[in-house]
Amino acid sequence: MSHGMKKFAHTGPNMTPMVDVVMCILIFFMLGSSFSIPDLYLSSNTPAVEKAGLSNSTATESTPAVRNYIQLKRLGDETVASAFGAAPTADLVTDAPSSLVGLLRTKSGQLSKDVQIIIAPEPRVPYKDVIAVYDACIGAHFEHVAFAPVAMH
Amino acid sequence: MGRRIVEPMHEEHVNVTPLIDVVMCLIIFFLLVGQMAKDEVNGEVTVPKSRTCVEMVDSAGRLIVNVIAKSNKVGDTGETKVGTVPPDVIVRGKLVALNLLTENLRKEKHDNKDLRLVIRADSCLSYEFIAPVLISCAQADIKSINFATEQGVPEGNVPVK
Repeated sequence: MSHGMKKFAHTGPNMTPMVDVVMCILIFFMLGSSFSIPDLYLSSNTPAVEKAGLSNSTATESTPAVRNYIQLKRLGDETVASAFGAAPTADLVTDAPSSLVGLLRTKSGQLSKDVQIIIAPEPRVPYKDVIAVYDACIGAHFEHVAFAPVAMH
Repeated sequence: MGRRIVEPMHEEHVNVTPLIDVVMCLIIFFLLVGQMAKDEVNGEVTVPKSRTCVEMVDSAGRLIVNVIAKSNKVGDTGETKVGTVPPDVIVRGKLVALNLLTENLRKEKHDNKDLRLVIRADSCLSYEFIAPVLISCAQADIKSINFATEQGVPEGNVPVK
């Protein structure tokens, strides 16, 4: 009879590999949830619509000293923008001096910071072109950019 | 009679069973978060591109309004055109009628004074369908409005399909 024999009872299946599997699943879901919202944002802290009595807010907001409109019209399959009395242009995207982007950058240097730009698109103008113009305004460092309602046309 | 002395069992391995329970809880958490994010952000929307877009660092108080273009058949040829009929407006995973959107936004604004609205709209939509959403935001006195875009050069005057 041997004393001191170690009794070692195996109590169940070995769970260690299961931890590895579960960790892999966890990492998968962590990465998966991080991919779910890839969007970036164009932000605006001014009301997106020229108030014109639409809002019920009684907050005292100073009226901008100067307002300039960017009219967007649909001619066939093209969106044409006209602003600051310049000739209408269908070039909403490039950096050329004759493009809308070039015009806005030129005017941004000449105008004061409290100038409000109001983008006034026609109803048929695609949303992507409206965003392109808004993007151009932000890129030209205009701080107050708003949108006009369709009803104002 | 000699008693057999049984030595206490020595556990050489750490019991990992509770760790699996913890990890399972984490998996369920990420599953639910992923599902909630999927409901909030409708994957069917193709947002426009912009160059000056930035990442939203703090998403506290964010409310996403999805404006999803619908297609309809045009003419007798069966050709479909997208973005020419009133779109679906989805807020927090629920379809909201445009005439009820203002009330909906007012409630959200009442619940959260620092509400930051994000408009995720299909790039092919006409402005006539976006303007009502903007008007609702103005009527609900929401000042912080963000437009969801992708990083890139805007498409410009690409012929509308």
